[in-house]
Amino acid sequence: MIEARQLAKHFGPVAAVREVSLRAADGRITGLLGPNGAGKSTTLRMLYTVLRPDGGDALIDGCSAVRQPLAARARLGVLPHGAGIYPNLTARENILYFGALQGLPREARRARTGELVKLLEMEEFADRPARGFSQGERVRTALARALVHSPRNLVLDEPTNGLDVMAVRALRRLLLQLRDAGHCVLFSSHVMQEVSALCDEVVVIAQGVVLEQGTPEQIRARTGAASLEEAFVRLIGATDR
Amino acid sequence: MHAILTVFAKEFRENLRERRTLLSALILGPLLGPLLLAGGLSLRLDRGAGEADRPLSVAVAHGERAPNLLGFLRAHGVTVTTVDYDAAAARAAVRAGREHQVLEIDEDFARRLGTGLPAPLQLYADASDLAAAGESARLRGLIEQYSSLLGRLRLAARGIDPLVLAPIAVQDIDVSTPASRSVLILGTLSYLILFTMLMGGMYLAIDATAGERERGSLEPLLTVPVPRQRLIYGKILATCAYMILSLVLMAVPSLSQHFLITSLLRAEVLPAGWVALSVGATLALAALLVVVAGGLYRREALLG
Repeated sequence: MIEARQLAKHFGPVAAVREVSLRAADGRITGLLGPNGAGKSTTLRMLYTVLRPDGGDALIDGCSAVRQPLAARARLGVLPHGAGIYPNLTARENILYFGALQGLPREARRARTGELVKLLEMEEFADRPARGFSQGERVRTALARALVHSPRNLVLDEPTNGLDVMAVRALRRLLLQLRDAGHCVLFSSHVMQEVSALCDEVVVIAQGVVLEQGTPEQIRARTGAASLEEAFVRLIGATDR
Repeated sequence: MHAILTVFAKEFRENLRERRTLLSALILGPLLGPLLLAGGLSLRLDRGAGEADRPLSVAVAHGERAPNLLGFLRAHGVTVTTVDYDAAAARAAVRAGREHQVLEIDEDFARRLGTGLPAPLQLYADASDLAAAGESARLRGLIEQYSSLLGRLRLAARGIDPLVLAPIAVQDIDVSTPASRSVLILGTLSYLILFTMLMGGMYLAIDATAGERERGSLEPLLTVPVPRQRLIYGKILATCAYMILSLVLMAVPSLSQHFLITSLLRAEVLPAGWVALSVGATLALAALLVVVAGGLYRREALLG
């Protein structure tokens, strides 16, 4: 479970996140939805402890991201924006490296890497150097790397960016599978179809503030809109006025 | 500790596959320094040898006023050409580069020489032209030799011992030994060693920090449950390993050869172990270069 409590972060005079509180429960997929520059990435970065919040705190399975960052990180699998991998290592070596850094013993990380290669259908390119990988192959490698230590919680920053339709469908299947296994999945997106197709829970965020949180139906009902997209536009429009 | 070693092992192994790191650590580092040194030395030797060997030539105006001086110069291997310049023409000829140097004999030369007064000569040369400056210094040296010869003859003719003119004789005694001269070279070598280590670790250091950030793999790395300083310690350790690799490749062959040559110069007995080490290290470096050449020759891009 991931819980954010009044997170705030500013860069110089710019307040990127003013006050964000949210809950992403186990066994549910939570979508962080917002326009460009709403503070989605900054919020996620504070959750996975790369950025230190100026105010508030985040709890990952009860571990404070501010006071126990190492414990919090150990409970998180992270797919950051861009998802760079090491071009001179093969996909398998990329995953094994993170397995070692997560503290898995040699045999365990070999077995787990083999499992993930099969799960993410990476057999074809797993032992090729990552230099010439397509975007889809890169994202799958980065995802396997995030899952190598079997974390309870998974945070993904715009995971479908640059993926083709087939890869997006495969990713969706995987996230649903993880949810059904009881994992907590939190991902950010600015693509409406993505969120409505996948999420059990939606958090709408704009200008560093949470505007709504609830199931897609609840949000539609509360804003009185016919579709989630309509509801989103109304919510965002309200902040502009 | 475990995380540091993990990062170290990964950076070390990854960079073994990075052509730029290998080129910098294994080829440029060990070879560039010694090559620069050798290049500088041979350039200096070339220039020194070239200068002393080049035949000296001089254009003389009014040579008929000093036949004995010209005879002396010719006897010392100087090619003397006779020209018909006045002061202005001589100046112009040297400035335009038609002549390296022009010697003009003054019309008073013979008369003043005959009466024992200093006899004037004009030597035109361009001091800003380095090659010509060397030549005119050599010519002036010859003329001074001639002048001092005349001086000594005059003293002898007056019954005075020419040694009167040399009240003090300084003798230079060089106490340097081959070993102390080798300290000079070793001093240069310490800069080479620094340079080599720098070249050896530079690329990896850049790649593992700025490169990591550029590739976007820094952010995922920072999400693993390892304190950040351990990550950078591992990277620094890998950089040190490449620096040492580079150093071993450069310093062992160079230093051991240096010590062998000094021992040879001192006519000491060479320890067999030293010779074996030196030969082994040098051959290992050569073998590495051969392997690299083989790899480069296998590339598809060979045909251009």
